[in-house]
Amino acid sequence: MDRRKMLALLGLSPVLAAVSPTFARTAAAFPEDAPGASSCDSGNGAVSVLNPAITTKFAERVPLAPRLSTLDGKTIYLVDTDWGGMQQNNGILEEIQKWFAQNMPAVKTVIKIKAGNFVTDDPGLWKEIAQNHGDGVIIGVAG
Amino acid sequence: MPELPFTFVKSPVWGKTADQLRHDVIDGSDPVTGKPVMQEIVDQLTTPVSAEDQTTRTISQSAGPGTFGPDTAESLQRMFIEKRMTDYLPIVLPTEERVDAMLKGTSRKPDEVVGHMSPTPGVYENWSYTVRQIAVNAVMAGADPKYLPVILAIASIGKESISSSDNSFTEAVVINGPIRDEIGLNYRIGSLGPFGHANATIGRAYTLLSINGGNCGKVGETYMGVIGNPMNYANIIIAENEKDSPWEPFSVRRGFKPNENVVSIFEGWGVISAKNSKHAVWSKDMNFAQELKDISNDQDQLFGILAVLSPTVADYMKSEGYDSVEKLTDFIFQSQDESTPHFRSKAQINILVTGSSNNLYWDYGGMHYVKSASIDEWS
Repeated sequence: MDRRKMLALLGLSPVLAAVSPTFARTAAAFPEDAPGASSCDSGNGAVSVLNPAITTKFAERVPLAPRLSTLDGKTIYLVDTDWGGMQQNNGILEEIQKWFAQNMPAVKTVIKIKAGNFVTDDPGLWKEIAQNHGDGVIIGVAG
Repeated sequence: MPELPFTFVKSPVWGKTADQLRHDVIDGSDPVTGKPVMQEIVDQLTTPVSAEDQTTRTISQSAGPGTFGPDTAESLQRMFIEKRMTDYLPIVLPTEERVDAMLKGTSRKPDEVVGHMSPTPGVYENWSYTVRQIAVNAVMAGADPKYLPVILAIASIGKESISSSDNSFTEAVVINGPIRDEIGLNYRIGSLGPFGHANATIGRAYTLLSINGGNCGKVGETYMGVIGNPMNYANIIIAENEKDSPWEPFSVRRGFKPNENVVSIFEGWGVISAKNSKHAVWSKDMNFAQELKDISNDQDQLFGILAVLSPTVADYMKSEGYDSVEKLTDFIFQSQDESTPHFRSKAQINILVTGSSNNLYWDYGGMHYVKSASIDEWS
């Protein structure tokens, strides 16, 4: 039979067959998924498979900073992560600052814009806050 | 991280007036806890943390048994969907025999830890994964064992392919080196489409690994994409057409040797055809470098631009005097007048060459370079 006609009967184009030599091999290597095919180990079409997620998940946790007993007389930094540019986010920190001024006037607040963008670190700012005796930080906003 | 003190506010917060922010956000409630936003923030600053949270420690969680079954193939396919361990398409069931066959694609030990991943670095905890776990996901994706070193190299970078961001990001994987021919990656007609077994399954394996190895894509928990992104199914696999490109391969420009096999990852919103841009020129006055510059100046500054050129378009640019990507990048970066350049740095402009030479189309998108890794180290 003409090769092109044969491929057409199989539903394959000559191009696909030419550029995908591994496909046929992969499919043939795993015949037991075909309906009615027997499985690898348990009979009755039953199969055992491996868990694709990790069986034990590990994560390192760093210690959280001790909390303040009171905010009175403390300096709280309001740090903008610069998500999407400061013009899009800064307003919410200004409103938080106004809230503290109206509701907890004994709290001093300082607004800072983090360098870079929301996915970059800014060690210089953390150092600056520590050197200026910042007592706490509120970081935002994500979107 | 559950112990970190978060306060959620009514979203979105951008594009709102001061009055709206005060009413909707500051005077509103945390939509997760229901507590008043500012009271919750004050409480979180002043409520003592537990003794346990003041220590450095390793936490562990179970992701279930090491194996599932025995059961019918049909039931197992359904179970993978119910456990949200797939992309909702049928998978190749990862039997031990198939995983063992996949592991023959590398000389690395099955229990070696390859890397770690989280739905958003710094926000969610990192999960680590081994060669074997990556092989399980590669089997599920339908990959051939000879693709495994590429998949391991991608995994070693540890960049999630499905970010938790409500932006609905996707990843692009650039592949350079002789392995492109050795494993049959398509870098000619339709190279970014579903027209190559290696392209399709390597990209899908990356997505499945992100779901199962990085805890990504759990809707409502670790995924919040507003619209979603169809490119998340198999990512954007870009094997460069090094043979027909007039310029050095991307990996060489990143400092790798010409014969090294390298993967490089980009992240962003994806790519679309430049033909749809208002700057696209379709006449005898075509000036592709200027067209690329004009389109670049319209892009968001967060991620810059990734231009994916066909060899023919790249040849045109070369004939316009840009005999190196560096020279072209310089031109795009420079402002039209004496004003500040649109992008923060030249590194925000990246140019690749792939596809065929049968017409003058090219793609672009807001995507930034993340990292490269050697494939050869994972053979």
